[in-house]
Amino acid sequence: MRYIVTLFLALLTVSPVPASAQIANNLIYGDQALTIDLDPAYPSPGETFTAKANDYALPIQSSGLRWVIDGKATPEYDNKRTITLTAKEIGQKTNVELVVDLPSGGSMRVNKVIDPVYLDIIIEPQTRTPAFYRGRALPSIGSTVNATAIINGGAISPAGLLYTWRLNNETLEGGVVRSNNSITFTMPRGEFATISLEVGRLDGTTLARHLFSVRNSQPRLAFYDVSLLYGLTTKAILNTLPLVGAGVTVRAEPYYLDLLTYNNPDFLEWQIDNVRTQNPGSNPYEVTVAGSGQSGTSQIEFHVRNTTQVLQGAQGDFRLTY
Amino acid sequence: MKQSTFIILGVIVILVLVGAWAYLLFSGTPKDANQIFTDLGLGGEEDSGIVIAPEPKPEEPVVNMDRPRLRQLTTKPVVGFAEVQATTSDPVVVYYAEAGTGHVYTIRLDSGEETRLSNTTVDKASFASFSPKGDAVAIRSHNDKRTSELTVGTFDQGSGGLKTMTFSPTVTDFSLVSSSSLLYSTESPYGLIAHEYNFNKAVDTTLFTVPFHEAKIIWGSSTTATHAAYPKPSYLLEGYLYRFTKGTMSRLPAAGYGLSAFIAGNNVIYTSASDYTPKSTVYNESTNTHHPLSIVTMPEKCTSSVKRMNTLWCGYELKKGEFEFPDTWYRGEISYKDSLWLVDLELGNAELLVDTFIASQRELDVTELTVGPSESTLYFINKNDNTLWMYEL
Repeated sequence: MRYIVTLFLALLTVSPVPASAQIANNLIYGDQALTIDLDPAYPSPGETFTAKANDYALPIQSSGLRWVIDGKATPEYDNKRTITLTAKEIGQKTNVELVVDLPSGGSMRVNKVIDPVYLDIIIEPQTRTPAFYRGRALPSIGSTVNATAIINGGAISPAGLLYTWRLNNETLEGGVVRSNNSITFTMPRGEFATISLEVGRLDGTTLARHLFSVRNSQPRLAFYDVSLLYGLTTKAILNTLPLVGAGVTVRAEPYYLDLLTYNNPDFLEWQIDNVRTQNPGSNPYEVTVAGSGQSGTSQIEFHVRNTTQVLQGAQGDFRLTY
Repeated sequence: MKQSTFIILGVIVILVLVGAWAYLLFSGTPKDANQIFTDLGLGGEEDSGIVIAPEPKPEEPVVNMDRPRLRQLTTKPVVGFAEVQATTSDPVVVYYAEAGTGHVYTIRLDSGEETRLSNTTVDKASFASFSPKGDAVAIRSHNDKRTSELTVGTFDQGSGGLKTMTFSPTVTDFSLVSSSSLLYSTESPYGLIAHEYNFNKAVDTTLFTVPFHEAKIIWGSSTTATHAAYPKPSYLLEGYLYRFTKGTMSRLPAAGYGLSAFIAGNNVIYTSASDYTPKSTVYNESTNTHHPLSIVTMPEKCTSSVKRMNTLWCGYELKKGEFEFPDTWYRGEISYKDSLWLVDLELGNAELLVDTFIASQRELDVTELTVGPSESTLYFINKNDNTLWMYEL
């Protein structure tokens, strides 16, 4: 009995110090008392990111901070709240561990594993560009936009993943949708649209997150000479076109006009010297002007517009000299 | 000094001058460089009379004023070209397809002689790809359609036309890698599908799938080679580079707004823009490192060496001020006044080869820059008028 009482007293004397950190972490201060905040939250392979110690919820002052990267102590980061690291390649994880020393002599630990993932979102606005144009179409207000998400260059199939798309903080498709790696939306008003995508695993953990802005562009006109022999020329008419020969055919190209409006415009008009011109050709975006046989200039104007969505339209002019 | 001393000195000077005049009068001028002017023999020293001839200067390279290194090859607009040399003893010949008609011509580089090889008309021919040996050509008509039919054929010496091969799909992009193998892409609801069509076997094989539509495909040199693709560039949209090896897609570490890229051996050269400022970077796959280039590259304006490691040739003009790179150039609203540069991909620096404006007195907007298989000549199309030019390296 005497031995039992002695052992009990000894345990009472020894146990409190190492137990305090454990209790502090899980019970007294809660799980969120000490965290590591990453910026960006889900780094891509090779991307530089910051890890920040967030211990502001701790009710006691820490006596020191230490960082352990992949199990190795990093004295150069001692007592730094924010450190900068570089994510490894695809499939290579980085274990970032934060150790907070407490005045009582104990310590608290928290860790975060960075498993870098490429989450690419390809924006494909359904707006007008001519076939020779080697760039991508840009979105304009009210235009249709397709977005496609590709993870790790297609190495991870979308089939077993959960996709949450948001446009200007409004969830699309009614919420989380499985395998939904592409989406179509209408560009909202405003200078920018903010698009975010969160991709999660079926167990509820987040695989990657991407947030970015897409700027609205205004539809803009460019005029091109149409040659009978060569077809559409690729150099735009800049302000003035000298008439060579008996006449010229000019194509108006309303860049970034929504394809629905381009294919079925409410209003489309050519004017020559402020006089509306009936275009006898099959393509309403082309006009043929014959020379008058005298020298002079003519002002050629073109206007196309959706009368319901008035911002879906473009207007421009150039001077024809002959 | 006394006046008499001045007079004496003056008389002595006059006598010396008169003596020299008399000597020259009676001895004559030296006939060649070996004749000495005189041997005064002052102080009893003997002069051997040997004159050290000046060291011959190295001869300046002869500049052929008739054929400058930078010269215009065609006055016709061109939609595709290739340098071909059947054997090392044969003359170097340039094949080109005329815009609009699709007629194919050859030009001998040694004599400048031009011959029409094909009179088969391809309506509004807008792009042509020659096989490396020059024995076949694929020509696309109508540049106002996103997908169009191709005319593919070999050259029929007898009829002077194209011996066309049956090929019906409408394509978005293509490259003729041999006389029997055409790499091409078609639209599908889920993106682009890349194929190989073998004309000998009449077999179509799917190579890989690009999971988006607005893609620029970088074709490899053969069916089994590595290919790459990225979304068409725009300064306001982010792009990413993907590689396709044996049908499998993977991501390369190149991304950014307005991304455009091309591959040169182990190097990936990519350009992206931020705040209206484009910059080019080299990613070396062997060392997994990125480093900046001193010039801004565009795939259309650059070509790489196969024979020399880390070597690139580019057309480049420094454009100052803000502009929508590369959108405005693609829209045909701006034009470059390019010079030709030699770029060292390892060091990242660039050396001016020729200021094309000084050399030609023409503003040359370089596009489709290509180096011939012998790597002795650069070829390019001047985007301002689509004429074909060459520069002897």
